[in-house]
Amino acid sequence: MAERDRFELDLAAALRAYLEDAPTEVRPTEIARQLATAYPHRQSALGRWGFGLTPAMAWVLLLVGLLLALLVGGLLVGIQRPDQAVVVVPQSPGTSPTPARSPSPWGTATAWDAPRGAVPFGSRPCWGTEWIVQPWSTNAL
Amino acid sequence: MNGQAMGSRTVASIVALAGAGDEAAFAQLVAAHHADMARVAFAVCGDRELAEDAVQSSWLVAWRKLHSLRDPDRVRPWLLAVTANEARQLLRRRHGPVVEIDVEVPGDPHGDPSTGIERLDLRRALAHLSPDDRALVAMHYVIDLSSDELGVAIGASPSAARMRLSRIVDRLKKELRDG
Repeated sequence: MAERDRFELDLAAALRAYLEDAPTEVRPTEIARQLATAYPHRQSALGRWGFGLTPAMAWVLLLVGLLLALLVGGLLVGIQRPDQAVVVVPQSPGTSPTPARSPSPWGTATAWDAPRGAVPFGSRPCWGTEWIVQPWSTNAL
Repeated sequence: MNGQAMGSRTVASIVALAGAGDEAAFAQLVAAHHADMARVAFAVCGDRELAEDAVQSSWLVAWRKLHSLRDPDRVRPWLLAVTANEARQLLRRRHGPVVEIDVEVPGDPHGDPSTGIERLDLRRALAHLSPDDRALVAMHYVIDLSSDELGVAIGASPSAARMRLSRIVDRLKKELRDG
């Protein structure tokens, strides 16, 4: 704060004199006792085991806990889900895969080429499907 | 003991204990800050009884909400802001939406002759300010709050508090010099 000029010094002195009329006398212990009797502080939900947490901190911890529980639950469920595509190639008996007649400019894809990472149907169990071994699968060989 | 006399570490522990409902710690806060709160309330209301009621209800607010004070070192401006708010509300309830104080002067109307500002003139000039401005003037010129603390008290930055104070002083200067 900058230095006070003459007017401000006069103002401060006049204000101090004026505010001498303020009701400044008090009995502190009396006020504290009356308030404590009339409005007792409630124990926190954790009782005396509040660990010094303020209500705001407790809410944040609760929220973080819920998010963690959600994350762990999601991971547990996600582990059990099939994460690889299952390709079922309709084939009639006796046919064998043949290369395309005119080579594709994107490569030599065959009719039964499965996407990368795909596991032939029957090589692993899948939710809602039966364990069927196809003749062309590795399990059948 | 006043607010400044308590060491920072002591203030933190006293505020924490008082916020948790410790009677003795709360009594220490009352002893340290009651007089300043009464001055602010009186500056806002201009009436002893109203000021007394305002400080009483401020202590009730403090008793209930002290635990929510994040920075214990700011307890002084926080208590003064609570007091100014309570005083303003009491004044509004008493006088309706017009919250100017009476210019009736208790005691000596001339006040301290050494200041060059007469009590009646000061009271009249203060009556033309808003209750919040009266509180700000008292907090700065009588209680000697720093601009940081003024900012906390009015919920603004220290520079905003300084600017507001400067405008109020200009206005008071005009009122008191020009009549």
